[in-house]
Amino acid sequence: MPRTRKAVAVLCTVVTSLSGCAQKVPKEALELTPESLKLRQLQTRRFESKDEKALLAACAAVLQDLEFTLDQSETALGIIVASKDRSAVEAGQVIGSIFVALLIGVPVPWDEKQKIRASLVTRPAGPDGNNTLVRVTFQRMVWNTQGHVTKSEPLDEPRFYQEFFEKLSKAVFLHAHEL
Amino acid sequence: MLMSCNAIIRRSRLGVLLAGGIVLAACGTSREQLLATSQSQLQIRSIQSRVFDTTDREKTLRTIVATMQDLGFVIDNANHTLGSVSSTKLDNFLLRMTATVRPKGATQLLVRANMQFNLSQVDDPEPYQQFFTALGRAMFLEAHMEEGATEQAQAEGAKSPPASSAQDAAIAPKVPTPEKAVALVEAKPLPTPQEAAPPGVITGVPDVKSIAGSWAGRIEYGPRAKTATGDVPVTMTVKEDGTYDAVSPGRSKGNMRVAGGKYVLTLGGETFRLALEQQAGKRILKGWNYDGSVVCELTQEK
Repeated sequence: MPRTRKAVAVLCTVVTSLSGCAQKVPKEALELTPESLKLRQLQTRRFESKDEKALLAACAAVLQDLEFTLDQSETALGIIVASKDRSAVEAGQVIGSIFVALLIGVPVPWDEKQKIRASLVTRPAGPDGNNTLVRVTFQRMVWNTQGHVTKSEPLDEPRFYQEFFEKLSKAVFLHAHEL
Repeated sequence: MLMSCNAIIRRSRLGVLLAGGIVLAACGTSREQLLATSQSQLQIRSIQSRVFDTTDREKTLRTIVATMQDLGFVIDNANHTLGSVSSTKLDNFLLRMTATVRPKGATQLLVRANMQFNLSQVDDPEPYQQFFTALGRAMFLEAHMEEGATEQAQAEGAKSPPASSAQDAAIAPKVPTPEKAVALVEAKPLPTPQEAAPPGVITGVPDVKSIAGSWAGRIEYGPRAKTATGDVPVTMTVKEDGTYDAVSPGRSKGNMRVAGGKYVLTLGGETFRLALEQQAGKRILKGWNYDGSVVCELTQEK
C-alpha cells in the first residue's frame, strides 16, 4: 500500500504543477501607485518643440548611438521599439557556478545572454500642442547557459534615463525639461 | 474473494494513472491550443471591451499607449491603420496585452483588450477592469484638455460631472454604475505643470487672497483610496493670509500653498491640489490627491 500512496503523491504534485493552466494576474500588476507616478517622471521629458516627427527621428538616432537596432516603429503614433542582444555573463556568477558545480558534481548554469528592449513614445503636449513629451522605457530578459529565462525585469535605474535624455537633448539642441 | 492484495494495488495504481491522465487531458494536446478558447466568446468579449464616447481614434490610441506605460508596460508594437497597441510587462512574470480601437456607431469607439499572463489567457474580469479604470481616467484628462468646453457644457447640462465624456459605457456586466464612474473618471492623476488649464479654470497667478471666504463641498474617496471610503461633506474657511480651517468631519488646519497654478492643502489626511474654476456664476475649487484616488470639490458660499 505505501507504494500506491507514494504514486498518488507524485501524481498529485505533477498534476498540480501542470494545471498551471489557470494562473492569476497579481492585483498590483495593473494598479497605478505613487511609484508609477515617480516612474513616469523618471522616464519622461518635455521638449519645447512641436515637430514630433523630427524628435522621433532624433530618438531613433540616439538609440542607434546606444547600439540598439530598431524592431518596430509607427510614426503616426510616435512609437519606436528597439532592442539589443548582449552577453549577460558576470564573472562573479560564473566563478560561483563553477565552484558549486565542483562541490556537487553537476553542471550549474549561469546567465549567458540578455535581450535589452527600449520602447519610446512621443506625444504632443502643452496648451497648443507646441511641446512634445518623450517617454522611454527599458526592460530586459536574461537567459542562462541552458536556455532558460532567469530574469525578466524592468530597468528602472535613474542613471539610464538621465543619460539617455542627456544624449537626446544634445542631439536636438533642446533642453529636456523634467515633468 | 480471492483477489490478491497485489491485484488491488495494481488496480488502484491503474486508477490513479487513469485519473491523472484524464486531469492532464483537460489541458488538451498542445496543438489544439491554436483554436482553444476558455469561456464563451460573448462573455469574454464583454469582459474585455468598453465603449468610449469619443470619435478621436488617434487620441484614444495615444492614450492607450500612455496608460500602458503608466502601468509599467513596455510597448512592443502599435499600428495606426489597424488601431492596435501591444505591450509587455516583465516583472518575473510575463504579462502581455493587446488593445484595439474600432468605431462603434457614428459617435463612439470600442476598445477591446486581451491579456496573456505567462502561458495562459486572462479570463478574470478584475485585471481588465483595472486597465479600463486607468484608461477611463486618462481619457477624461485628454477630453477635458482638448474638448473641455463642449464636453463640460454637455456634462453640466446633463447634471452630472464630465464623466459622460469618457465613462465606461455598459457592455460589460462589471462596469461601474454611472455614479461610481463619475468618481473613477474624474479622479485623474496629477497633471503635469505644462498641461493646459481646462476651460472654465481661472488662469493667471493664483493668489490665496482671492479665495478667502467660506467653502463647502465633498471629498470623494475612490475604490483605491487608502484613507477612507465613500464620500464625506466638507466645510472650510480660508483667511486672506492663506490659513484654512476645515471640518471633514475631522478637523484640518493649515497654511495653503500655491504650486503649479494650483492651491495645495491637506484635508482629512489627504493632500489635494485644487484648481479654481468659474461655473455658472459659482466659484469652485476642484482637484484630487497625488494618485487621483480621492477627489475634492468645494463651492464658495455667498
